[in-house]
Parts: sequence; structure tokens; C-alpha cells
Amino acid sequence: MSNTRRLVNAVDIHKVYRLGKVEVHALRGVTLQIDEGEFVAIMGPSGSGKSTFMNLLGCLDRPTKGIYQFDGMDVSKLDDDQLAELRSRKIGFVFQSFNLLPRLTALQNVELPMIYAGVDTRKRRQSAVRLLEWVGLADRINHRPSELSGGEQQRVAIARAIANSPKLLLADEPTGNLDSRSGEEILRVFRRLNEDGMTIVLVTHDQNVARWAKRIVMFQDGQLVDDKMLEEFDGAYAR
Amino acid sequence: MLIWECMKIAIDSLIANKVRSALTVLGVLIGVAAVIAMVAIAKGAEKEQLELVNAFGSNTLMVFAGQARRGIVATGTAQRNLTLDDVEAILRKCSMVVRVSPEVRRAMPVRYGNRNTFTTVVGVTPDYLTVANWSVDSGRFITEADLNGMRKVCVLGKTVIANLFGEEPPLGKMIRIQGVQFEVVGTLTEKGALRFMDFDDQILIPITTAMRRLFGIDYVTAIGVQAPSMELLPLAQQQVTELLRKRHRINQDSQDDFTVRSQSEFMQMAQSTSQMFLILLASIASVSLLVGGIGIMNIMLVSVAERTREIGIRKAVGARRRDILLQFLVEAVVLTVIGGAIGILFGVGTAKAIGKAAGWTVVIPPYSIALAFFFAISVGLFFGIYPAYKAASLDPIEALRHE
Repeated sequence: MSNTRRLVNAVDIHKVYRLGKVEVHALRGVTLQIDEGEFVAIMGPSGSGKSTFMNLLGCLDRPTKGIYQFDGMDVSKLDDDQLAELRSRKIGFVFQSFNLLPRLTALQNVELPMIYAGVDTRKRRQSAVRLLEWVGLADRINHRPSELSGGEQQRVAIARAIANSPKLLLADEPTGNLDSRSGEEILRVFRRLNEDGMTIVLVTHDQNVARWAKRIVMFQDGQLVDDKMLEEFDGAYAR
Repeated sequence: MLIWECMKIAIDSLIANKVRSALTVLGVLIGVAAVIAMVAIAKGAEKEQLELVNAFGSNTLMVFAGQARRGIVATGTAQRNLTLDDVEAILRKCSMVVRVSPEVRRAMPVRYGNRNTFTTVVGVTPDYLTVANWSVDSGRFITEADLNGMRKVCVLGKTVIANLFGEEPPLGKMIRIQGVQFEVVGTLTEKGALRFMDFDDQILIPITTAMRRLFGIDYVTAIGVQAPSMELLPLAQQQVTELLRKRHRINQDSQDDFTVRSQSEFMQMAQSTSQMFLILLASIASVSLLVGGIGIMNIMLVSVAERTREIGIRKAVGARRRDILLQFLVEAVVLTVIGGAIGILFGVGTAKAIGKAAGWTVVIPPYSIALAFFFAISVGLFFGIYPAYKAASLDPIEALRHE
């Protein structure tokens, strides 16, 4: 692994939320490194801090304490607009509820990140079409999200997430709203992406989903309690 | 992100909420329409007044008997102190006066056959035609011979003709002014009416006939004085004033016992009234624009609250604060510009309709359209900035969690 680049370097991350007068310690000292090309699943029960950690990984938020370096940059020192810039160019998100803009067509949804990245109109349109073809939706380009099935919507979301060729693809329960067949299709898309070199972090509570990844990280009570490659994981839990 | 992209997003979202957008636009629309219509009416009134002034020539002065100071009622003697000798003297001694036109006027009953009317009878000299800027439509005007012979002839304005004769040709007919028979020798071309003043409602007769036979007076009501040009008018005014003071034996410290008004003064009066009118109307219009603007802000805030999730998604895929700010700001401005554009059309239409219904002149100056448009955009920017700022400041995680 020494010859691949380190993409994520999180050291002793703490995150404290203030809900009214109560302080919630969502993360209590998490240390995790991810290299380029990895496919990591983050597992844990709800409230374990895995979603909070994903928000930090995705540069939607900054840690309260600790060091988070993404692609060599110290995220805790960036302001909101610099974070937005970073997200725009280096990170793609896939959500459980798809989060497509309902009034835009599939094509327009895929174009969205490229608009914010300043890609010109013609190039944007071409890449959006290519991306939608790649996820198998060539005939759904001008459909709105309400005219697409859940699986199709999620594939549009993936096309959108990778529109700016990000370094990291983050997926939060991407199969949570899908039946098992569509879910499997989505996971197959992820695997294809990973085989092409995309680094993927997938948050799930489902073991069957997590098994699509190569490495599995367990969260509990705001701490990282386990970190294994899939083979070791099988040895420890499945049997 | 380019403004163009923002426009597309804004227009899409406005179309998605058609009814709400239309209602929001209404406030600005009414405000802009009010500005346009009111300016058009005020400017039209000003133009009418200037036309009136010009109708009587821009190089003439009017000398009235008595002081024109407000609050002081001129006494009977004061009103009688302009004489035909004064008129003669002005013409002879003032180098900057080319023509004088003394006049006496009084409202009197007039009769033709069994028709009656009540009109202004004006005693004039032949120069009245030039000085007061009239022209003869048919027949002839008052001549020197009429004056010398104190003839009972008259020239009629269009309104009088309509009242007394209807369709009948008036030339050569005899009419009775306060019982005295006069022959109609000419008619005047139409000058028109202004709001409450009808210039064509008058009968002209020789001034000598008027003073001796009809009114029984030896003084004149006013003297029209014509200078060679508008530039020389102030000089003529000065000469006339000095001469009359001397002739009336007014010492240094005393006030004039007459009043000299030039057309430019009338013009200034006209303009200052219309200016006041304009300010009043503009303040009314700005209140309606303010109300419209508050409406925009209200709807934009609702829109931001409703679209929290959309904002979260946009931020997650890389929108910066200013992208979101611009998006909502452009949306507000697009709303007000649409409102402004429709308001301009509506305002122009309203002004024309009012002008037609009331018979007023309306003038739509191009600057009022530019001004209204500028105001509409400003209202959009001013009242859109707060909602847009609120949208841009949303935390992406919170916004994404929003249902």
C-alpha cells in the first residue's frame, strides 16, 4: 500500500453538537486512513456516529477537534466556500433518498455539479449524456425523477455524483430505499466504478451490502471499534 | 456560476409556482403602473400649460392695473389707473416695444334671435390679433376705421358662434350685446380650451365702442405689450415699468400700482405647479412600490423555507454561498422586472385611457419608463437580498435533513 496515495487521513476526530443546552458527543476520537482506490464500508447501529463521520469525510462539516486531511489538504482550516469548492471538484455524494431535484430532468440533474464547477454548456451536456449512458439510462435522459423507478433515480444520482470525476464517492445507505434486486444493481455499479479506480466509502447497517466492499469499518458510540479487510471480517463474524 | 444559469433556474422555479409568482408580481406591477400613469398625467398638464402660454406668444408682456400682491384687494381707483394715454406713451417712448394692445373686458349677456348666451366681451385694437396671437377664420378683423368711427361691429370666437348660431353662417348677422345691436364682421380660428378656460368663448369689439358705448369707462383693463423677440422681453419690461412709474408719479419707496407679467413668468408658474404635482404623485407611487417590495420579500422567504432541501442538495454538489445567493437574488429581480415590464405597459395604457376619458393631454417621457424599470430592479435587489442571504447561509447538513 505504500505505493498508492493516501486520500483520507483522519486523526483523533471529535465532533460535538449542541442541541439546545445538551452537548452531544457524536464522535469521540476517530482515527482512520483511506488510500486511493479503496472500497470501504462503514457499519454501525444508528446513533453510532457513522453519518456524522460521513459528513466530515464529505467536507460538509468540520471536526470540533482532531485533524482531517483530504487529498493532502487540511479541511479544518477551510472556510465554507473553500469546502464547497472541494466538494464540487473532489467529492461525489449518493444519498439514501436519492436527493434529485424534482423539477429537473435526469440530464439536468447530472449537469448540476458541472454547472457549479464552471464547465461550459456544450461539454456539460455531452458528459451528462455519456454518464447517463454509462449507468444504463440512455433512454431516460429527459425524464423527471417522478417518472423514474427508485433504482433508476439512484443511478441518476450516481451519474451526478461522478460528473466532476471526484476522488471520493460517498454513499449513505444507497440501497436503503430500494428492493434487493435494484439494490444489487446499484452495488454492481459501485463495484464497476471501484474497479476503474474510484475510491468509495459506503455507509450501511446491512451486512449483505457491506460485503460488497473490500474493507469494513465498525462504529459504535462515536468510536471506531473494528477495522478489517473483508476476508478477515468473514472470519470474525460470519462464521 | 453564470448569471445566465441563474436566470434559467429562476425562471424555471417561477414557472413552477405560476399563481404565487403572479400574485407576488402584482404589487410591483401596480407600483410601476402608478408611477408611469402619474408622471404621464403630470407632464401632460405641464405641457398643456406651456401650450397655453405659447398660444399667446412668447415675446409678449401683460400689464394689469393694480398690484398683484397676494392678500391685498386692489382698490377701485387702483384698477382704473391704466389709460389710453399710457398705451400711447408706451408705444412712443419704449424703444423695445413694437406693438401694444390695450383691452377692456367684461362678461355680458348676448342675444341672437331667440338664443341667449353669456360671454366675455373684449374691447380691442387691430394689434390685438398679432399681440395675442390670434388669426381670423372668416370675414375681417377690427380696423382703425372701426375704432375711429366707434362702429358697432364684432368678431366672434368659435364657442360663441356655436352657442348663438349653431350651424347657421354668422357673417353679416346682427347680434345684441346687452341690448345694443352689433354686426358680425368676422370669426376667429379655434384656440381651444384648457381644463376650465375656454379661449374661444369671447366676442371682440372695437375698444372705443366698448369704452364709450357699452361699458362707459375711460380706463383699460390690461395692456398687451410685444417686444421684438423673447430675448429683449426683460428690457421691454424694464422700460415699461419705468415709464409707467414716472407717468403715475410713484416715488422711489412706493410699490407699483400696476403689474407686469411676462410669458416666461407664466411658464415658470406652470412648471412649479407641475413640479409639486409630480413630487406628490411620486411619493404615492413609492409607497406602493415599497408595499410591493415587502410582498416580494415575504414570498421569497417562504420560497427559501420551502426549498431548504433543494438548497442542501445544491450545496452538497458544490454550490458556493454566492451561487445560492445569486440564484435567489436573480429570482427576486426577475420577478420585479416582469412586474415592472407589465406595469409599464399597464401604466401607459391607464394614462392613455384617463387622458381619453377626461380629455387631458398625457405625455409619457422616456425617462419615466427608465426610472420605473430602475425602481423595479432596485426593489428586487433590496428586498431580495435578505431572503437570498438566508438561503446562502443555510448549513448543508441541516438543509439535507430537512423534509
